[in-house]
Amino acid sequence: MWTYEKKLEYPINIKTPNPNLAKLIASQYGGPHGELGASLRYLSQRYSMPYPELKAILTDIGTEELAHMEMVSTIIYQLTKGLSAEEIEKSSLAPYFTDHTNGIYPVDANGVPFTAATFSVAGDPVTDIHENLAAEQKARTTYENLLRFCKDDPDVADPLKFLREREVVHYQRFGEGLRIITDHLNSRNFYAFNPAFDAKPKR
Amino acid sequence: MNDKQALLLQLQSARFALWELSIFLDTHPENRKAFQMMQEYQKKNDALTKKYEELYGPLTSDSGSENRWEWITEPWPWENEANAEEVKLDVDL
Repeated sequence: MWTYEKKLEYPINIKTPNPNLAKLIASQYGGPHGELGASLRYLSQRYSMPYPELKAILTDIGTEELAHMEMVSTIIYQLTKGLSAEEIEKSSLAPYFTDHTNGIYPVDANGVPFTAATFSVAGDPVTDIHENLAAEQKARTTYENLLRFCKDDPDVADPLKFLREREVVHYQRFGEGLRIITDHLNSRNFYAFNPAFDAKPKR
Repeated sequence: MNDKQALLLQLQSARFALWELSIFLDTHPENRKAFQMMQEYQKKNDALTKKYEELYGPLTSDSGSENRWEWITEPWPWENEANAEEVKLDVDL
């Protein structure tokens, strides 16, 4: 089970609304490189993971991604708070507003709803950890692209920089996890069998 | 920044350090130095959590804080009022 901590992992206090920016940042909630997909990816992969350190890192990073989902949602919430219908109509957020008003709903930057088709659970430790290494890099790229759009508002850029940095740290932890997996396998052929499914071959 | 936001910012800093050490230890379970640092930050986090909850109400639903009403009425994390206006720490962690 989980316990909710009534605080953000990193503070967010945005003073100036910006509906166009909110529409773009929404992608890190419900888009292909977003935090919702990250959390579901890791928390779903852990069941078929045979190694204890990897069960721990998938559970813990999957949990931290939930806190990042909350941060991205908070940025969207604060960027769209207090806007008039006229201000929204003039912005790129108008189509989103039509269906969701000021509610927070997981979509990508083009308004396409969240889909689990953006991530993979292969049930093979080597494959799943490579998926995660790629996912952390994809999220870093998207945060860097978002940072190009908010240079004039440190209230938004600051938490995005924090989130970008977490992608780098998680990539590092997953890299160490991959090394722990291959240490369990035959160095002459890491792919001889799937340790989550096949019985370990007799020597 | 008001006193509550400043105390929460200190708590968030200690909590983050504790978290970072925890996930480092997932892949380095035998690193004694990281384990000792984690214990130090655990103490800091516990003390700051206790102080915050006595003044402003519970941070978790199982905190045992007597101010149960504040769980409901105090600002929620996504609201501006709950957050420091800028991340500036004047304490040495």
